Amino acid sequence: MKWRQFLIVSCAAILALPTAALGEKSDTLRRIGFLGNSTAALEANLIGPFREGLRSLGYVEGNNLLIEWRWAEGKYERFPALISELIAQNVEVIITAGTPATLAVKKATQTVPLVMVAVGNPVGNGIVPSLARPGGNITGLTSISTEMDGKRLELLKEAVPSVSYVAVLWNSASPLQVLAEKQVQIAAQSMQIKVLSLGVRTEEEIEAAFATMIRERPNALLVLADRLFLHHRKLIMDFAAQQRLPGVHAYKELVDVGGLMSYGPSYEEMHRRAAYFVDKILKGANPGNLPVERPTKFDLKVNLKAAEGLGLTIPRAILRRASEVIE
Amino acid sequence: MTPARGNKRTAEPAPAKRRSRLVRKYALLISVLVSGALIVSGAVDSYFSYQDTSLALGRIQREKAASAAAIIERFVKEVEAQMGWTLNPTFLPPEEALKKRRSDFQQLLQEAPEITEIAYIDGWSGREELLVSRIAVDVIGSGKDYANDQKFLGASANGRYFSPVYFRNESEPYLSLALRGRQREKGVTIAEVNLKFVWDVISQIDVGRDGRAFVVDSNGLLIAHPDISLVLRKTDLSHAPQVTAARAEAGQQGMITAGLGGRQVLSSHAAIAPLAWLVFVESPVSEALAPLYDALIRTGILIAAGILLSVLAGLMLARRIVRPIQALREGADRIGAGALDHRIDVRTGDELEALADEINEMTSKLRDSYDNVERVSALKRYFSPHLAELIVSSDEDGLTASHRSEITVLFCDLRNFTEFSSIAEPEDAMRVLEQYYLALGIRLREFEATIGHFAGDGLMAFFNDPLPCPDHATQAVKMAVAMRDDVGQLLEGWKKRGLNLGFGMGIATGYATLGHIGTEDQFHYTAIGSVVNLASRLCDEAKSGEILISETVYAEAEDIVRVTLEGERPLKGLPKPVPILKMVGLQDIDPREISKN
Repeated sequence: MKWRQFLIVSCAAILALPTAALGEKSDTLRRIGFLGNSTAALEANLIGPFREGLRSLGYVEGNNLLIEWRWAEGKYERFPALISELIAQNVEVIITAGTPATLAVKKATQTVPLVMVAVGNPVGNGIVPSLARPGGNITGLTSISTEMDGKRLELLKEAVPSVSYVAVLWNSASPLQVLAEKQVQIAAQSMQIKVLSLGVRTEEEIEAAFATMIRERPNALLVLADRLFLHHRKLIMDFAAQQRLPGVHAYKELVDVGGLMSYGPSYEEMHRRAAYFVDKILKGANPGNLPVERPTKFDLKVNLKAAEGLGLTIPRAILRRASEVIE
Repeated sequence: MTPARGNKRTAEPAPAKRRSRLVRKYALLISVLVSGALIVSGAVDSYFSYQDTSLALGRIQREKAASAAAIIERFVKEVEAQMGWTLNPTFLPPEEALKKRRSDFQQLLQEAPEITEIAYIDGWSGREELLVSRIAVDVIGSGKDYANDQKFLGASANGRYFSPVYFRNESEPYLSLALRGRQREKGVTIAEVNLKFVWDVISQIDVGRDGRAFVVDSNGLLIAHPDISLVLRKTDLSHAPQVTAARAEAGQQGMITAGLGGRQVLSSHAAIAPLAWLVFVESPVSEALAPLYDALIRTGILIAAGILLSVLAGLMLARRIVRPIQALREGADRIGAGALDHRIDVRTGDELEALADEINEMTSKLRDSYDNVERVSALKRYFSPHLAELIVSSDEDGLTASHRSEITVLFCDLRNFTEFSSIAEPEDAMRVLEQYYLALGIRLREFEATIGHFAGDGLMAFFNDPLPCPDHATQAVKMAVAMRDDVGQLLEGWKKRGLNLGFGMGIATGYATLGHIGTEDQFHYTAIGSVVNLASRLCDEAKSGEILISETVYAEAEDIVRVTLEGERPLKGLPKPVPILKMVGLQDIDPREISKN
């Protein structure tokens, strides 16, 4: 028995020598496509970690990896054209973020693998049949934003107990946002908070929503997770500051430009993790066999400067839970 | 001795071939012996090092599995310890207590990211009082009934309860950890622990470059693996050979089996007792046994080098052994070809040198006896064969050096032969001489006379040197009579064929000088002196059929010889006239019966 193992091992060792020598990694140039919702400048903090993730897996842009960048600049109607360009470039994987962009890619191709970075509810929106076994050509990460919209409202109520009438900004062009808005309505009802629902699709509609808010005078603003609002974050947060509207938003980026609070998974981390899926797929994994991953870490970010501007004192209980505080 | 010249020529191509065959044989023998020893020792060494290494690897892997199990157990223990802070009893009114507990739970979620949700169940009613979540809206006083829930019952009874692993959202593995409050506090706190965090732990366990550790729960479900996608897909490993073997407690530690990736792996496991989980540590056989492969390769290289060296050493050794043998062969060949002067030069200080010395000695003896044989054949020309051998076997220098001795000299020749040979056919003259010398030769050998020289029909012989002969004069006379009778018969025969030849003899006794005369190769042993001259002159004086003898001969042989004095005659080369004695016959002896004694 031992002798047989020994013989097998010896033979295997002899056979393994030449094959091991031949198994060197070939440095061919791989081409992937990134479909951005906003612009490179506005999503710089997200594509940075994505690139870092790729680098840590041995990909060097220009050497063995080429990334085709396409930016929709907040105009979702551009997606089909940009996706066609990427497919025409024969990219091996498309990376995108958000439900509208993901749905656009899903509509455009069933063969080119797609890594979605932060999709609120991929099962609910019919992008994948299940998280564990997505099947098809799509995999990636969910931001579970619909599950957390209620939590954000709860945090807002805790931080600013006086909130009774909240304006909710959501993208009516996104099927996800339709679900999200419903979740917020349910949560708000349980907290006896009145909702001013503002579904918008474009910058013009945002401007129109601003007008509505000025007219309706809500005492808080909740911006849901959609890349449209990431694109127009400065515009919206400037308005919120000007109108003294506190809020707990999905993106910490909104807090960075003057928003009061944000709660949710780290989008930067999700972008970093996306590189893992790209790597797996480039190495031949079937995206349908890679489970969609849920975030496990959630950050509460508080902007005390904004609070000061709003004339608010954030309770200690909230500050204690904050993972990041802007003084 | 006949030199084997012909043999040498035919034997010439053989040596090189035969030598190389011997070299090859020795080289092969030495190489096979040394290589064989190397290979056998290498194989035995490799076998034992395989045994040792695989045992050591199994032990190391088992330790790794045990330490991995300890690390994962600590992960759960830490969650439990962190929950402990929230278990202290409160002495606040219910409203305040709830607020405090919610704050504590929020604090706990902040500190323990593994906990997604935490609930508080009233100990008396078994109903949920509070649910704090990281994701969903907190729920206060839902009143959800846990009274019959295993988590509540288990924790109430034992203080602590671990639920089986379950998957949330069909994707993330979770564990419910239920703890009963301390002291009077009977409430149960239930935390939902996201086991995806074990991933961080398990990914950091060092199990070699391609090795991995993974965890399965009591149902064989994969709950932690460095490749998280396997966990999120709810991989069922309950039928994997290493899992079934470990469950059956028959799992041989360090077993070689098919790993999750399909490769052959070396697998060990350790149990996490309170959870009934199993931690497996696997390394690909190729990596785990890499040190063994290195050792094998090292041994292989050493053996190859050893074989190469042994072949070289074998060749060198074989050459060293064969070179003196070859020298012996060549020497024997040359000696065989007649080069008796050849000496074989072998300086090996062993039996081969002894053999060479013996051959050299044998050759020198061979040369001596060959020289003797040559000398004997030379002496046979003027001595009887018996005499010649006697001379050769005795001290030759004493005989051949010139010396004085008393001898009796006999001269004889044919009369009228010169005239005959000038007119006769050379063949006839030669035939006559042949018969003549045949007849003389018989008597010369019989009487053991020494032949001085012969030329044409003339012969000179003498007695008492080198062979001592006390009655040399008597012997000479007897031989002369015998010769006269023998040649007389020949003369009668020749006369019948019309040849008118005669035969005369002269004998003298006296001192003469004896020794070699001639060149190195061609020499005669002969006598010179007045006695020789006298015998020659007497021969000249003798008529056909006459034997003339000197006074000294008669003085020695008067007992047997009858003579008549022919008067004194002056002879050429002699200072005064010499009395001439003619032999009439022998005293009372029939001439036909004359012989040496």
